[in-house]
Amino acid sequence: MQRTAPSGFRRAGFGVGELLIESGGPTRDFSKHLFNTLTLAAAAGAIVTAGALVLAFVRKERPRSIAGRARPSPRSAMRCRAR
Amino acid sequence: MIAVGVLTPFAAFDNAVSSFFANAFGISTGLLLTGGIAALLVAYTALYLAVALQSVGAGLERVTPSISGAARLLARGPWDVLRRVHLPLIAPSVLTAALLVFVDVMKELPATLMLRPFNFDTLAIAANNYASDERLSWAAAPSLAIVAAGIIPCILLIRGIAASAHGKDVP
Repeated sequence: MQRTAPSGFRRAGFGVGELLIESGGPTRDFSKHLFNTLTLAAAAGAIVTAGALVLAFVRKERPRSIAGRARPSPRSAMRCRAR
Repeated sequence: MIAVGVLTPFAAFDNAVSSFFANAFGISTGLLLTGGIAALLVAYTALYLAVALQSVGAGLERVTPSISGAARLLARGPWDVLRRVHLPLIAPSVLTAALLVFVDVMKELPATLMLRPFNFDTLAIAANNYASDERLSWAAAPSLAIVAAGIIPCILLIRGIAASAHGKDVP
């Protein structure tokens, strides 16, 4: 297994790190931005995963209920058979 | 595109509610949906539901119908079966889906830029603002933070996949 980061990634990381040192560290709004990002990502992760879980479960339990064709009524089935 | 699709009906709803309350009671409700992160969360759901659905669906496929049938025979309702039987079985898939969405949302820019509330900047927006102002050194900290926060869940995922491939328990 390759344990070291690829050189392209390392070089870019060092470049951005140099820029960070040059700027004298993060700005004073950094912690606020980080908090906003983490809050938003965590909320979205929880909501989207819960939605996907419910949707996948309903699709598994009732395959025709979501994105599937409804079962034809007996009358329309007879009509199709007559054609 | 999704941001515009979310913004149009939500703004219409906000305007309708605001004008109704202003006319009927003389109070202003403000922007109920577009003023907060509700519109953002709806847009993220539309954007990343497919990613989460793929992972969760693959986990649910591995649960055989006989397991659900056995639980239903014990007079459990469908949501009880999901909570007590399916969820513990597919917990790694659910965690994977949540991590994938988390990483994607952390670095998402266009929808966040359009739908964010006032004075609500994320790391991606801060990096974009600094870079568009040519303040590249100031954009370094948020950029590195996005990469670092995206790498940690990826390392966890890779370790989990490697552990499950070797027959160990997923952490």
